[in-house]
Amino acid sequence: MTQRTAPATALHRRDFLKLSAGSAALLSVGAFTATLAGCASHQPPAKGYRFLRPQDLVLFTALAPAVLGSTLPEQDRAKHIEAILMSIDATATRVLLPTQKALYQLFDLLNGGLTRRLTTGVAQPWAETTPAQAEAFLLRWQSSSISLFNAGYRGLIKFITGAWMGTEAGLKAAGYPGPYQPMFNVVNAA
Amino acid sequence: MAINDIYTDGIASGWDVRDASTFTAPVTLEADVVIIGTGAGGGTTAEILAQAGLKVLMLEEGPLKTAANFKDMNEGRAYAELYQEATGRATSDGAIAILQGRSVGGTTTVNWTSSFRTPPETLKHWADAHGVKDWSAEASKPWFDNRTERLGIAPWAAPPNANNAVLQRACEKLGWEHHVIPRNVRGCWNSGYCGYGCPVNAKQSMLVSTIPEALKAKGTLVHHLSVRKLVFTGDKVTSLHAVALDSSCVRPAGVTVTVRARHFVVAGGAINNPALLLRSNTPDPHGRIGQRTFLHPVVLTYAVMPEAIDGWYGAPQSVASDHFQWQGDFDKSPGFKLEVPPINPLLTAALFGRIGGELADGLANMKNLNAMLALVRDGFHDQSVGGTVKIDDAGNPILDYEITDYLFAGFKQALLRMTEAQFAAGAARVTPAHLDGVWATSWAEAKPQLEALAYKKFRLAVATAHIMGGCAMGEDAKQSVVKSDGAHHQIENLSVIDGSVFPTSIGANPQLSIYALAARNATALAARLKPAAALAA
Ligand SMILES: Cc1cc2nc3c(=O)[nH]c(=O)nc-3n(C[C@H](O)[C@H](O)[C@H](O)COP(=O)(O)OP(=O)(O)OC[C@H]3O[C@@H](n4cnc5c(N)ncnc54)[C@H](O)[C@@H]3O)c2cc1C
Ligand code: SF4
Repeated sequence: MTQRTAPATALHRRDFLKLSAGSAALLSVGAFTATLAGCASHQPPAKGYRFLRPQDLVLFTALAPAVLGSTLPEQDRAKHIEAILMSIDATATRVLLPTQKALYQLFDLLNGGLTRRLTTGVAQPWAETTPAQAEAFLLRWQSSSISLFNAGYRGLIKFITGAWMGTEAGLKAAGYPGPYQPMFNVVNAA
Repeated sequence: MAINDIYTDGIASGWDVRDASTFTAPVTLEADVVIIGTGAGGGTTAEILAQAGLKVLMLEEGPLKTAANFKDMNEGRAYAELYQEATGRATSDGAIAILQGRSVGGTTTVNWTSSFRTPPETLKHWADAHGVKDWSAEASKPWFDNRTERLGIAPWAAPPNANNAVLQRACEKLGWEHHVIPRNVRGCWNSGYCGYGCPVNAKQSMLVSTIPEALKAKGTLVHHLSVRKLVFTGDKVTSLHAVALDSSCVRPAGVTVTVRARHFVVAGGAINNPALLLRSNTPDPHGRIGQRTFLHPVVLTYAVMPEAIDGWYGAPQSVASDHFQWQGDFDKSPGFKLEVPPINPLLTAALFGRIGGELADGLANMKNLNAMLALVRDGFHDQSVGGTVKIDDAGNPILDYEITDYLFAGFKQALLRMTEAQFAAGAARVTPAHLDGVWATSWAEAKPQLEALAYKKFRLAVATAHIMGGCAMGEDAKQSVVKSDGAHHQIENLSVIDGSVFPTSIGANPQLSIYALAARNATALAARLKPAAALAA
């Protein structure tokens, strides 16, 4: 796995500074392929998923409440988060290989103990992270002067926000009244 | 009233439409002309060639999705099924998000219907600086008239929706040029769902206009089929190799398809065309394939208006301003066109760039949200030479696009003017789509903020829905891939007919520019091929 075998140089914050000088789609993650050493992990996806691995599910489960704040209802939260995870998974299977590689590299960076601590400032594994800690990490990447981290921030939050807005509950949170009724009723009439 | 999706009846009446995901054994197909891609360029070409009596084969990597699939009017479904990489495409560094279509009809199936003629300034620049022949304002006019008629293009006659009215009001207040946008629609419901596929066939996309006519004229359409390589013998293409995709249109299904034809038309759009030509080792003595890829990079500002906007409803784009397009100091920064995007909730939220409380505030105000966008005219200055398409080891396209200081200067001008416009129209508060953007409550407060922003990649949100160039046209083989009529400089039976031939961006939403040029070039191609076809018959 990448986080174990990547050369130590890829793990240093100072090296990020150097490496990102040259520098992710709607995902903003391309920068990771160009910047991080090591190849993406070949670990199989989690059961029921086609792209996300078990640790990636934990990562997004930790980040989603921080990104979505009060727009994510307390009620049925686990169900909402599962819908978000499924949607992220579906999108990730549809991007081309170069972006998929970049995604795994970003996820590996965030999931490796040392790289997580160095780049995110979060000491404990994602499974033990509070939303406030996850938010602090995201804001750290948001305000960083290192463009790679800005790119990672944009990529992660687009994934989560886009996935949430692909659900009925997310659309409700945005006040969307639903498909234009006069037309919807007619085209859906038997 | 169930909507006729056109294809169910068509196929029942004998149209030759095949879904490659159902193929179980290798297939070899033959045609007079094979057309790779069914978007603006490919669709237009298919109708003209098929009606000229040529045997036309249309190949499309995306799925066949019709009004029957669009009736859920669901944004997430549309992005997954109808867009390249489910809208996850971006430049190689990830700094610019790329929206491009991928289904029968190409990007026209999901576009927003704005239909502009190529500005005369652009046509003149192409002739002067890029060796484009016979495509002046005068020479092109009959072809624009022809497509205007064919696709029902007319200035939008209903009042603009509230989102577009913000731009209109601003321009009136500020004395800026503005105009009603012509749209390619017939019997439009003014609903606003163009970006998810029109559920009532009102949008005259290729899906409902030219492709059905090509099928009626004995054309064949194979979808779920990705063309991987052209095969050359001497200075001719002799065949192509394609792979069938699985039913979800993601992975190869394991079946290959070979096509032989007299003539090959590449119409997969910008990014994908250069990638195909590069994968095929197409002769490219001057290294021009993939060069000069343009994006009309888009920057945005958001306004919370005192009145309800409901920008998810109504014709998405009906008002535009060219006030900053052709007047300005273009040695300092490029010109731009001002428009509004529809407030499609998913797209709007995904691009918003905020989290937690700020995201919640943004979503809570989406009903009152006006977004404004600037299409920046790239490719008209030596500090704006566009991006370069390369391929990875597997042949996947990679687009490198550098945002130069020159372009950043244009983005800054655009943010300033859009913010000024939104306040002029009565906005309660405005913020740029930038990581450091804070909501300002007056133009006086906003201006210094915009002056002081860091104009840097990732901090500033940049997106594109107009990908052009990469197979530039022109008479000089050292500067271009194809001649002005779309014929490849080196390969006699290969043409490129779509938006990838533009030597610069357009300075207006590109679809009609593609339709008109494609109609001219396909008509000429039919004349060139027809006598031999008649002989062979
Ligand atoms: C959301 C959105 C809104 C837009 N709104 C407007 C608008 O209002 N007005 C306007 O003028 N323009 C608009 N555009 C842009 C416009 O629609 C495109 O510029 C235009 O359709 C491009 O035409 P094209 O023929 O070059 O390529 P496309 O229309 O993109 O067609 C290319 C087709 O080729 C297929 N293909 C590619 N490679 C292969 C391969 N190897 N094998 C098989 N098939 C392949 C693709 O899947 C695709 O279907 C919009 C674009 C988007 C994304
Ligand atoms: S606005 Fe008109 S063209 Fe667009 S989806 Fe609605 S009916 Fe179709």
